[in-house]
Amino acid sequence: MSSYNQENLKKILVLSMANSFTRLIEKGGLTIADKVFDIDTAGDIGHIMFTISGLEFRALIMLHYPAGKSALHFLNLYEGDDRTTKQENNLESFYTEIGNQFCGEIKRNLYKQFDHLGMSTPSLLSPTTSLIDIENPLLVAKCFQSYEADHQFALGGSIYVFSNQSLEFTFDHASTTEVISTGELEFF
Amino acid sequence: MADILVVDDSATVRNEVSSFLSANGISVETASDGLDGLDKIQKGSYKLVICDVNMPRMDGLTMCEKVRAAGKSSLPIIMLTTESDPSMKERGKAAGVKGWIIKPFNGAAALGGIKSIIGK
Repeated sequence: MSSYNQENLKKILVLSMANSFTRLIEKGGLTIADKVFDIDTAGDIGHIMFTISGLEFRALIMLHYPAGKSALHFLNLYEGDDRTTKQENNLESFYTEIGNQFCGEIKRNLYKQFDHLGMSTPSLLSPTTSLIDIENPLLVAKCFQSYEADHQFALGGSIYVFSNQSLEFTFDHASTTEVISTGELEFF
Repeated sequence: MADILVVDDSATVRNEVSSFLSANGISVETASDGLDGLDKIQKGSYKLVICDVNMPRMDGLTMCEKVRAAGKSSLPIIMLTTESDPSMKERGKAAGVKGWIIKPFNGAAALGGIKSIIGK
């Protein structure tokens, strides 16, 4: 894949993360990470995977989140002090839904170029899964972006694109930054 | 019988929506996927169903189609989903969906419409 395509895919990833993690970014004080976190060696990282499939390609979308105490910290920030069951078994549900919105946002952006896309339900990857395992000969592009808080890994997103044909991803800043009205009831 | 049935495979969403609606005087029951939702709809008499699209076992639009096929043509169903594709919305319209909310749920923005549907 050309650097042009790789660059545009990264822009789509970054924009999608900003749009879908808005509340976490605001409440958790998250910032785009300056350094590249090595997800495979960072330890205690959960991965939730989705797929977006079309006629020309298949994309794996992954949300990477810190498990354990730091994750509970973000969960509390997000849900507020009135939450009654701050338990680690809520984490998967919480991050699955965050990931669902993240994947939906990416699909929304890709849909402007590929109007026949389907999106999967989430899968929680085994902690023993290495991201190297995901790569195969049909991999044509991958990109990763992470957020940090207090210089610690806070949240990450990845896109892996697999295809057996040439693809062109474009990034139209005007159309991809148009505001989608979320949360409001649209009557038919 | 509760006013509203919320159908979503995400416990986080079920809790978020239920908590908000309950705090606004609206009673809620939940279902964890389309099959569970269909079963509760057939047994119950809700004023409104709020339903996700992408769910395991049975998706929300299929559930809606089966509800209509079962003769519940007047039950209002609105979708709460990350999906915003026009083709998906068209399928929803064809299945008798009354409205569409793109996640994340914004209770304050949706409450007026929800209350108008259930007559509260």
